Amino acid sequence: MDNGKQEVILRCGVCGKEGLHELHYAGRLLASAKCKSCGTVMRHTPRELRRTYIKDLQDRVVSKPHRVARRLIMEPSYLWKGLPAALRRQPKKFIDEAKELKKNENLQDEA
Amino acid sequence: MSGAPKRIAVILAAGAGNRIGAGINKVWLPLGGQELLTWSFKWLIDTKLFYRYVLVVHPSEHELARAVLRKYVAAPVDIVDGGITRHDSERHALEYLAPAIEADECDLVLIHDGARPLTSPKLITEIVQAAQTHGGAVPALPTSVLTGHANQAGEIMRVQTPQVFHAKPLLKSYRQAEVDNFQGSDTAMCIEQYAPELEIRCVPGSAQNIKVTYAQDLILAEHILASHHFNLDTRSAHG
Repeated sequence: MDNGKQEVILRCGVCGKEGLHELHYAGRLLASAKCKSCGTVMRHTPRELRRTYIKDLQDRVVSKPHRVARRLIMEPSYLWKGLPAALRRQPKKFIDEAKELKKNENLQDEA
Repeated sequence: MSGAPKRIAVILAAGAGNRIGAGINKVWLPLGGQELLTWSFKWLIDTKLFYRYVLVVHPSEHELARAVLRKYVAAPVDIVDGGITRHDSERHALEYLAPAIEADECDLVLIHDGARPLTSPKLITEIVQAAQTHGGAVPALPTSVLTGHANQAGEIMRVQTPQVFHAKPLLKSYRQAEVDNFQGSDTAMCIEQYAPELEIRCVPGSAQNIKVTYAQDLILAEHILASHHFNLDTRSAHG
């Protein structure tokens, strides 16, 4: 996924066409989905997204040790191959997520 | 193998989502922190009903599939090449399983659509139990649209997956369909055509067992997962 952005073929509920949609994620939550055919954007309301994001963040923090342990059991080399880089990426990841949340709020205000 | 459950689960993920040649197949989209497809494996594994798992993917997605399975799926999974249509993908999976089926190492096959990430363990268990008793079972919901299958009472139903059938008649049906060049829109259709003696029971499906087709389905799926704390336990089959 490129900077929380993903392109995928889905059907649009407005124009009815099956075509490319641009999805934006805030953390592991989908913040918005834009139909590239008709421009329709589906998104959570800012309040709902913020509330769900906080709940999800709590879940991610609580489940992180278990997820890392499971990964290490399945792939021990992750300890030196993947984990250090993953830890280094965390601050930027959270900043990007916060930016995506803010962007979603600004877009809602404009609408 | 005696005494162990002789059931195999097949997940279809060779979907045509990427046929336009851009974007990724929707089964690889992130949903609640992991690829959409991996949730189906989680619920299937949670039931402890299957001893073997098969994933059908587009040949170009083998490496991606292996990487995702290694990260999120706590069971060995065989990867099989998909076909052009859903029916072809099912046939490829059944031919791959043919040695096990013919050697009586598999009595039931479950076929599930990888784009349905919210099939609860309870629903899976109900379908398997019904298929074990009757020969075949599908989850279904009443619909006002005149398409779908008729249930035991003759009502028109909207059929979902997973669909579960006795393995030998299923394999035989797909082999005969290949000879006749028949393409069914789902597994039950092929069974109805070539193994009419096999009873297919309609089990009440679940409104939350959605197939991700529209953009809003992703938002809904995410909401359902979050509201269940990312764990569809036995209480949530028909939520």
